[in-house]
Amino acid sequence: MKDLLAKFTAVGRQHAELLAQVGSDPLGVRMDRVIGPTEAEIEGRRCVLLGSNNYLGLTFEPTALEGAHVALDAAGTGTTGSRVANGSYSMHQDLERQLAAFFRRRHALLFSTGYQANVGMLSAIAGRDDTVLIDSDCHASIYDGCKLSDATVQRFRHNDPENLDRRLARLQAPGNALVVIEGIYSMLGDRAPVREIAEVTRRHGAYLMVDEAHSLGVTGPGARGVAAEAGVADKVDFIVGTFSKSVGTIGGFCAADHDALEAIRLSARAYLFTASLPPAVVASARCTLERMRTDPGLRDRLWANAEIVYDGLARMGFELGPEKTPVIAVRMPDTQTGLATWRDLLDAGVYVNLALPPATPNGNCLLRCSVCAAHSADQLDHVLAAFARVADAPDWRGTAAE
Amino acid sequence: MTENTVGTPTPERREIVEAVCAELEKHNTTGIQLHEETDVTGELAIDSVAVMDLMFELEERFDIAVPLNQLGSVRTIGQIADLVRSQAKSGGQQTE
Ligand SMILES: Cc1ncc(COP(=O)(O)O)c(C=O)c1O
Repeated sequence: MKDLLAKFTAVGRQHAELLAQVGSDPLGVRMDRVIGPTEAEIEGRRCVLLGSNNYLGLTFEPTALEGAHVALDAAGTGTTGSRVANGSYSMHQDLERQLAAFFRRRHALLFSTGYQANVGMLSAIAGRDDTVLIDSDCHASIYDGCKLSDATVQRFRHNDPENLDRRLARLQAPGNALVVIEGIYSMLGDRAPVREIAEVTRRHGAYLMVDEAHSLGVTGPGARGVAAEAGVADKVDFIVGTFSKSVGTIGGFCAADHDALEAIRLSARAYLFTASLPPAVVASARCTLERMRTDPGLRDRLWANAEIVYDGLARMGFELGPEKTPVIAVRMPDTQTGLATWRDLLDAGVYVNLALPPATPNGNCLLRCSVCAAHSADQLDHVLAAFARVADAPDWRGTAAE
Repeated sequence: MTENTVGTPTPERREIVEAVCAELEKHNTTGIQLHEETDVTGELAIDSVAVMDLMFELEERFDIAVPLNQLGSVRTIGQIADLVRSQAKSGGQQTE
């Protein structure tokens, strides 16, 4: 008998090396106390959270807290099953109607996470004769959805409509083609050129799916995301997204005008064979979606804060992602510097995400920052002062030192 | 995959192998001498994303489109070359 778990030896070793280098586990940070949407206590220290994806700071939205409490008391802690088996609560259907109206679509389908929304949708709609073309920087859930489908899968160069065009032009498969992109990309924070990609997709008679995970609530008219911002929402067949970022809770969805979405409900295994969202979560999402739709001031504050952080870091000489958005990737010259810098920032009371390849594009180590509308001016001063100290340190090997 | 790595490589295949090696050399931090049997993700410790990125270069160089579905079973430089050649022969996209 061989060792079933031998394949984890390398990962385990890498993780141990990481631990030894940093002195604590950057992939297992414990928040001992959550103080609010932008602050938590880590290792006995109050830290500004600059890696939460909580773009609008709505995790403590008063109407959502109250709505969740009411739903919890009225309907209990969980649904204990799939909606197909156990039935839907009326609030699931209310939320689906609300989502459809939010995106101005005829239909919306709830999933239990954004991960499951991608996996469920892609594995259901991409069939044996079809081809799915995904942007190379797409999230793991999109890759996994493709893997679970029977379709042929191609990867096109990140944000490159010409590369997509060439691939679509040479397709010989008898089936349909589906193009999948994101709105704002999770690692580098750059937007998709949705207008150009939608044009190419249309010209070849292909379908378009946009995962607005990091752009819902963040941009566009009515907080509808990047496709709406680019004025091409009507050219998007399937809008996918998550409640785990700007919406401030958990859950996933797909919105579309295609009437078949109701039949997909009976085909998507990630919908059928898993429990539906619990009442308190549904109630929170309903409240925060309404808040973001009706309060553009949240977005204004978010973008103003993003500008402060991006410009501040750029002035210090850090190498940043190509676009000024609430996702700000700080490129580290190498993994070792990345680890040390991440640790220095935490010691200074600033929590960012340590992002390592292969989860990052081009094999880069990134300190991934996500800005929040609820960050105060003082908190952002604190963040920038911490980065400035890092950039000034004699052992900093980044471009900032040059 | 029906082509095998045994026998004299045709010039066409050699050209592909050379192109694969040239691309991989950019990521080769191990100092290992590259050859057909080199295990890309194992010996060279090149991650799966870098392998997918490598395919972009090969796709453009040889004017092909390689489905991701076919990359999963590929380990060695020779196998990558065979995959590229089978695509080039079929003149475009091949379904799984
Ligand atoms: C682009 C993208 N899609 C989907 C997901 C998954 O969302 P969830 O956390 O709801 O599973 C994420 C978040 O990790 C993401 O970045």
